[in-house]
Amino acid sequence: MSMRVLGRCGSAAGDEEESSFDKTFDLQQTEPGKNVNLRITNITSKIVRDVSDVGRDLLDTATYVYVLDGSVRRGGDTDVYGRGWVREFTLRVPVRDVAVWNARRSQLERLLTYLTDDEYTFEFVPHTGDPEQPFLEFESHEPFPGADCVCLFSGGADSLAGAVKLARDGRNPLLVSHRSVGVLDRRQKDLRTEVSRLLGSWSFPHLSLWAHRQDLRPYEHTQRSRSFLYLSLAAAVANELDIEEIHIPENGVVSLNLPKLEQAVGARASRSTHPKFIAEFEELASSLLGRPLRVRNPFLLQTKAEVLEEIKRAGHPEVLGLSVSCARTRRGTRAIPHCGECSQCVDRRFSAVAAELERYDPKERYDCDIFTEELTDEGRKQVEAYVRAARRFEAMSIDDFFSEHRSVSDAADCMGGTVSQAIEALYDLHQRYAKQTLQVIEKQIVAHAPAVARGAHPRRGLLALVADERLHRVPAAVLGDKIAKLLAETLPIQFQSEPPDSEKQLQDGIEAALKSGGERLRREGPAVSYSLVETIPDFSSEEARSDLYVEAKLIKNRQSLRDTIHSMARASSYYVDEGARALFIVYDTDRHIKDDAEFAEEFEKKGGVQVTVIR
Amino acid sequence: MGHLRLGRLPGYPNWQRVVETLADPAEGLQEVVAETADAARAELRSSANRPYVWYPYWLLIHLARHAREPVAFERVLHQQGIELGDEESAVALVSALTQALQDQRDGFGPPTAIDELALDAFQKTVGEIVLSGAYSLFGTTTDDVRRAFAHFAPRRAFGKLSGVYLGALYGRVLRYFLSFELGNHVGPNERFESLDDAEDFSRSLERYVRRASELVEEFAEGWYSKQLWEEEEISQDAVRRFLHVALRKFQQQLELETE
Repeated sequence: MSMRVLGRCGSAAGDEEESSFDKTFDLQQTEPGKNVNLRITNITSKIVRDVSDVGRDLLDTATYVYVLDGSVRRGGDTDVYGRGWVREFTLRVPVRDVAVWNARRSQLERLLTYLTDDEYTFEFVPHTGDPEQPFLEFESHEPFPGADCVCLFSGGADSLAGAVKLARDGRNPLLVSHRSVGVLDRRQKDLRTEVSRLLGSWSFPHLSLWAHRQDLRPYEHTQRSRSFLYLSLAAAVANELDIEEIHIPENGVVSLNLPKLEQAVGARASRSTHPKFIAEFEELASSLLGRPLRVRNPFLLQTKAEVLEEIKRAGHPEVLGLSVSCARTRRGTRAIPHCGECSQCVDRRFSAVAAELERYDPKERYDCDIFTEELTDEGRKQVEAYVRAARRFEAMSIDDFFSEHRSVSDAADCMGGTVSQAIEALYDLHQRYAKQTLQVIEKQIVAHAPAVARGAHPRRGLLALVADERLHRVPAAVLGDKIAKLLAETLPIQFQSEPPDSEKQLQDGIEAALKSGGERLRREGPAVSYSLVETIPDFSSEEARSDLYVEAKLIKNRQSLRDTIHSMARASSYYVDEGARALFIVYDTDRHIKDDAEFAEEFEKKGGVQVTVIR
Repeated sequence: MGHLRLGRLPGYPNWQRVVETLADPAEGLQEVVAETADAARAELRSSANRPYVWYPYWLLIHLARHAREPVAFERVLHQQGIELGDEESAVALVSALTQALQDQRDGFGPPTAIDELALDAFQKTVGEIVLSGAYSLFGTTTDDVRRAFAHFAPRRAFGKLSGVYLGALYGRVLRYFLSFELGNHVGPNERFESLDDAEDFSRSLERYVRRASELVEEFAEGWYSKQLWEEEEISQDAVRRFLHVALRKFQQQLELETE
């Protein structure tokens, strides 16, 4: 059963508990009873100005949402049924223009529900009480001369790349940070100072927001609403400075955050920069502020490795070392800021190797090196999930990629262009991500081959999970190789005077070749059922330790090539899902396939599939 | 950013039996599945009452029953708040159908974990329905979607559709619960020596559930025929009641396999 929580904010606070709620909180930003601290500091120069009413209301509302989020537990890590995950929040918030907020209430509630999975009900009441001190300190009329966009700046690698890219593109970003702990504040400042020094073209002015409850530490650390606070600050500041563009740089794989583990349903895999959330925030903020506001993620269609290459391209890859991605912010030290085992560290480590930036992000800055050291149970689970997800993405057809992930549909609706085009772009992104990840593993296996060969690699490390597999070769693969070689030698001779007319004729030729080569395979069977479809391989062997299914394909023209590609993709999924190996013999006399290796690779990368093109 | 919150199975005896069975290489897939299904039994039973679980199933049936006529099919879509826009592609329609279900949240209430899995199972099932008549979802039109649904109105085909949805749901539920523990048993001297072994186990589980769902198909066909004969329509209430029984049948099927 969901916890029902009432947040009475500012002048809406009351004296009595309200019995229809399980918990009631009074949240105050001013005395008496101040228990919420919202502070925005301008790090680079002193300035004073009042913020517009709607900007202040947006920031207040986002602060209350964030603080309440941290005040109520979500059910704990054994809540496997998810009954405690969703909380029902009612917030009574004083605003300066009730009509404006009421008109957008449903929009705000839906946006927050998508971001956090929680239920929200807002009751907007007229703001009363004493005029407050201005809290955005801007001293001149144009406090950041030349700033033409706002860039969210967490101090991580992606936001660093975002700031750097904007500067290289000739833009002048105002950096906006949220600091949840003091150590983050110092890191963000140091990184900003160094970027400004190295790039020289722009001063990178920097605003930092601190929002927390003063009277107690947060009970709940998932912080799913943080992104709303962060963007609200950016929108309020942009509005004051007549800026219409906000950048929230995050690589696309993390933005979509497709579940790496089956337990990550709903917003358990965070949606901080999901395209749907970004699009809905943009619409809400523009409507509230009465001006067009564009919120952009410049890296939506890039992997983290590709994002890190932006830093390389700027000519100062050394600055990567100052960025910190670790989720365990309180644990890290200046010398070793990364734990190495959280999902963010794992992703960063793989990506730095993929982008060939290991020199600037050395393993010594990680408390645990996932490639060479023993992993804790938690670390092994994160690494296992990460690598298995990459393998799954690589093996997936675009149809499976779409059908298996609702998050993909959510994103595709909001990316502009057609839904089909958006899904194709996201699929391509994940294919590249999978390839980059698996290439990193290959590299590590090669680099540590002597240790692996002697069995000297850590038995509870990543290499133990993947390297040992390569020692076992499934007999079906051996049989498949043998048959492919036999047919590649005999079929061209059989059909040298006249190519086969039909697939049946090709199959007859294959049957003859197999018999004369002493290979016993069953023709036309068995039927393999998958979901609503049944497929029958042309030949099958049940003598191998796992099944081998063989299909013959005849390419007569471009249309038949297209049809063949589709049917091979589908059949591959069925056979591999059955735990079998698939061998496709593709007869292509008129060279409709331009590049045999590339054609074969498209199917073979899934694993369990072999393609031989014969002429 | 990109945070993933990991959980673990509760300490109750039924869940600890799942942990023990998974840890023991001598216990086969069937035993692991049976213990997991048993531990999740009460939650699954109560989920059949939840609109996130029965409504998608009813919607699949409703779409199939009205798919022979384009006008009737469009009316069903319209009732879900879907208007066919400029992009007449299958993926756009499948996306819109899932979105329409998600938009029911105000009426359905906050989703549990199994509710989320039911929405995933719905999208997967719609995808499979379209792919039963096309090589790919891409390059396929909304009218192809309608025609694909129309194939599943007759009794025998309806059984298959039910098998797919129930199999997709049950498979996801099992994998969901097992995902809290499986990662603890991957590595040298563990049940799964390598990632390949863990992946093989997942694939075997999928196949196992698919076979179990085939045995529920016949049962679904019988219910469908009887319902149409007696009521001439398939009401939401009838679907909800049937789902109770069907999930129980599924459970029994999985338990039978271990005997």
